[in-house]
Amino acid sequence: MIFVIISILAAVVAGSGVGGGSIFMLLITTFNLLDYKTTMVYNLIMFVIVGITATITNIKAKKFDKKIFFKVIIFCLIGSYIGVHFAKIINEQDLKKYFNVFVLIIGIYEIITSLISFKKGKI
Amino acid sequence: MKAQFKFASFIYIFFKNTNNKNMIYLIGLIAGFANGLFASGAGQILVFYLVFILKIDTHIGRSVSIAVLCITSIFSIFGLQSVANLELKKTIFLVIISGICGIIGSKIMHKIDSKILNLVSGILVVSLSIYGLCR
Repeated sequence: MIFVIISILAAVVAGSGVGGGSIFMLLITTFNLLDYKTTMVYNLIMFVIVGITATITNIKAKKFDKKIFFKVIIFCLIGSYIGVHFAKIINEQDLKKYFNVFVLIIGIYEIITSLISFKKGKI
Repeated sequence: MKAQFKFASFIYIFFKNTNNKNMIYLIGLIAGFANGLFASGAGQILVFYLVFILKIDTHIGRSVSIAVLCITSIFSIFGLQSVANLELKKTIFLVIISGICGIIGSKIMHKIDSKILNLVSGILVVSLSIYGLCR
């Protein structure tokens, strides 16, 4: 049941493009529902499905830039190949700690940038 | 903790020097790397660069990030599935929930101010990661 609630919450947030993956990973590992690497794959599965439906909706709403998409995609795939290789060899506990530091920085940045844009009335 | 501090400093210094337009390729590489290594957070890197550095419209930046990471995630799944213990029932549940909630989420993105979503997501992520580090 907790898995379903977390999935709903994370998928809605992921569809709106504001870090649903981080929320899914953090909540699942906080509640110790699954091991870390399995959670990673579930998160990726969620993101593929959310990505397909959200992208169709975004293209229909004309909120999509193909030029930037094609610029980034190849490099992202290369990066992903390297990242997956590292994820396989890094110890699960270390990976968890690095992940927490990584999302902590991203979270702080999100808060700061949204507060700045609130102040400026932009973005 | 020393290694984690070095890692945090590296990310901070890197983002301080990303005002070059060609950096988009390197950012793509780093976002892909984060997607493969951590399976999340990569979207935030891309969105941050597209919206705050390249000054692209927030909604377009987020849409591009979702589409890019959707494709990248397919490749990451193939790479990581050998180390995961997936259950068919959970996977089917997740696929159905994600399909429905993905549409709801993207519609919310078009209606609700992204500043509010960013702030809520930021607070949640910071609290959970601090909890995870202190445990």
